Amino acid sequence: MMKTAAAIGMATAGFALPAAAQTEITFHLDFLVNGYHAPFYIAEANGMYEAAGLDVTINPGRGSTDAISTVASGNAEIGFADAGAVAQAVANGAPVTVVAAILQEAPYGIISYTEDGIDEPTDLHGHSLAVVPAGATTQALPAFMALNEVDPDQVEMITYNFGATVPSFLSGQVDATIGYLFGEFLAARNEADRDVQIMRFYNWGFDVYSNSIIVNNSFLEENPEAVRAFVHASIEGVEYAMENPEEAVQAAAANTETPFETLLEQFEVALPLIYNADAEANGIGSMTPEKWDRTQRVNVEFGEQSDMVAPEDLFTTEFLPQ
Amino acid sequence: MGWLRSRWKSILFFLFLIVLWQVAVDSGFLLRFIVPSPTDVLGEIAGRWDRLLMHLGYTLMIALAGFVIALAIGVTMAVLIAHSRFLAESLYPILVLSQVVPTIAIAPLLSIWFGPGEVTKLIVVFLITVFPIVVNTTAGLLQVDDDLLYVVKGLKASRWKIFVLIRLPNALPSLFAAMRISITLAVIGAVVAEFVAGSIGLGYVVFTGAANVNTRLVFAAVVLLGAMGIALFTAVKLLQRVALPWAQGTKEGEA
Amino acid sequence: MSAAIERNLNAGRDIGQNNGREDGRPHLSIRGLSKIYETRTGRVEALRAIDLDVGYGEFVSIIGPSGCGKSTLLKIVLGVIGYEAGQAFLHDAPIVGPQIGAGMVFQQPALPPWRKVLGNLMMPIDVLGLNRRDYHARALDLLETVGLTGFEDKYPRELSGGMQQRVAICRALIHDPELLLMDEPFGALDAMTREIMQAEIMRIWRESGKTVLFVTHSIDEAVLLSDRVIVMSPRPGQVVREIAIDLPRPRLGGLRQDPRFQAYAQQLRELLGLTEPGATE
Repeated sequence: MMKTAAAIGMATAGFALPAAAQTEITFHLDFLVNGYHAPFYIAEANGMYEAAGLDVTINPGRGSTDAISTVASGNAEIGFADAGAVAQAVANGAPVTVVAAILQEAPYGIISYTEDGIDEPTDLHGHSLAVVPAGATTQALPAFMALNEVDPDQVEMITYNFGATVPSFLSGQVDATIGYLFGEFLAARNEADRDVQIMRFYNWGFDVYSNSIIVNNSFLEENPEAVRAFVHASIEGVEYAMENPEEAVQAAAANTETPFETLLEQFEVALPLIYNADAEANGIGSMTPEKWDRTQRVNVEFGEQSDMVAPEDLFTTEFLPQ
Repeated sequence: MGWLRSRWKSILFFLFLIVLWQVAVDSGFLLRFIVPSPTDVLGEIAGRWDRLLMHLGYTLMIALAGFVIALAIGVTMAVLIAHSRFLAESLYPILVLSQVVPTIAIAPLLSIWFGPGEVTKLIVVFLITVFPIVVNTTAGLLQVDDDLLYVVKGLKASRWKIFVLIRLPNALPSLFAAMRISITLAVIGAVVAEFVAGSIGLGYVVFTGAANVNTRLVFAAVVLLGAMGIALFTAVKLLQRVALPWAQGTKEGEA
Repeated sequence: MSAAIERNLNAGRDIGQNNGREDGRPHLSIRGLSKIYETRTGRVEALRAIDLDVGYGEFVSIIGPSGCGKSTLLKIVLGVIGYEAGQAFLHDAPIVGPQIGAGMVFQQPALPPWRKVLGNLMMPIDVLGLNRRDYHARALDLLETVGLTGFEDKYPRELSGGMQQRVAICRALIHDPELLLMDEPFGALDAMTREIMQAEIMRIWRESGKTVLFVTHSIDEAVLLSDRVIVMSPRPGQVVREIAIDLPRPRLGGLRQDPRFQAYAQQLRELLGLTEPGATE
């Protein structure tokens, strides 16, 4: 009698707790924590991923290439990387797929002093430019120059480690530097004694996607629902961050040594790239085949990408909110 | 305090340099953005003390763990190389190759094969620190006084006895010399590893600061790394003094 | 293991002491011994057809020019180097490897710096796997014999060259071997210390009754210390002549002025000067 009661009790207890295991996901970022990552951090901090049945760990990355190879090798299930870099990697056989283009516009460009009047690409002729040895800009720059008939031989390009580009620009060693809107441009603008401007590639033929959510193909096949849940919760994070920027940035600040103020500035500058006209019309993270075509073409024709990748091998919109 | 008395001149000189540095930044001679002043750096350290301490603890742990692994494997390799021509000829080329290929170049590869976690970092630290240990210990094991060897061989000493009674103690001073080098390399290794993967550690903080052009943060982390390196180096020196009381050099300095 | 070692050590003691060939068998017997080294540049003949006997309790010196193979000969007797032809016997047993019945002292003390004086003395005991406690009293005795009482806890680097060499001699004697092999043991010492050590070794030899095979460069030293002096030729080393030193013991330092001493020294000098094979008599 006692035994039966105990057995029933244990069985009931077993049924009382739902055996729903949270899907573990490692989300490998494109770079170190930046303001534009705030949506992901607030989604994690406020339990949006958890509510969607996901146990997400966010890891800062070391560049789009690092993020792509980490996801491709399966060390992370999902990642965040520049669209152009992803297309090139997939053309080389990387088993990843893009499921949402969070940053809808290419965020990099040429940073210079406003008074120097480098307002058009060909204005670069006769100037010196700081560049970096690796990263999304390394591929984008030659394409940008080819697209806009900038003669590389007339531009003195000096390679610096990425942390040294802005200091060398500010100390006058170079006339201009390549950089990101929410990275180098902000740093230069805040520390310079004169007006600083950025000539964004986006406005000069680089109507392409930027940082996007990518997924490992095997994981995608086996866990489509988890991927859907991740994308939806991330977009929820974006929407929340738009309404509550400081709270969202605070969530990011808790995970890095970069000061809150810097992160907030980065987020505010990045937001128009996330929530641009396309995103407002078609949804955050939305993607069109035409823009993807442009994203690839620029790199195939002027950059290092060998061939165009068929759209179905590169991205899918099926996980975006419909 | 005798230590202090004998070094007051160098301490004074060091302080003078610090003051010079402070004045150079305050007066605008050095761009504060590019070179923060000593007070800026100390302020940054003080302001972030809790978090920086956490990062320091992590880097220290990685450096020490990697160092201990390198010590264990390195000494083992040295023993094998010293006792077997075949192993010497097989292992040495691999070892030298591992040194010639820059670790910072293969670290990203390692993080793909082993993931961006602690395993990769320990491998990086190991690769950077093991070489001096193997080279020095092997030399110490082999460079034994020939006459001493004859004396014990005349007593029918087995290879094992010779190893334990003579080669091993003979190798200790060389091993400690290598340890002094390797412990500082271990810190460098941990920093390199953190540059390449992960989200914690003083190396990661340096990287974050550099990426965001936050030179104060970079300097703060570098100062702490320097302090850590000096502390570890000194610890090994003191350890030698305790472990090898018979192997102290001349008063002024040691090899 | 240690019982066998004890047996080995005692083997020598059972057979007569201090009386040379009283029972007809020498302590050390070598016949036609040759040693050839293979080097990169060819074959080197270090020793050729060495014939040599040493009786129990004898003090025999070997003298010869550099490179004549005297050190090699000692190492062959010790059993740590092989030989290509001939025969060598220690206690009538063929020398095919180390036999533990000898103690060796080199020109350099070769004391491991990480052991204190007592530890250094105990090195043979440790190697043989014996119990240190059994030899503790003997160790202290030996130190007293060489005047180093109170130095047990010092490291070698705290001692002078002469003191270190004395420790090395004690180390060679700790396991009470019957044969003491010495390869220019006082060569690295200054003249004064050298004279003191010569007196010491004679005293140790007299009190212990051991057989001593002593290699030296110094004619005076050979005459002063030895019962017999064996003269060797330059490479390939051969025995040129054996000279018996018939001088009374104890041999004090002033003996050097004695005309008989001088005569022996002169004889050795001549032998060493005309050391072409077959140029004797």
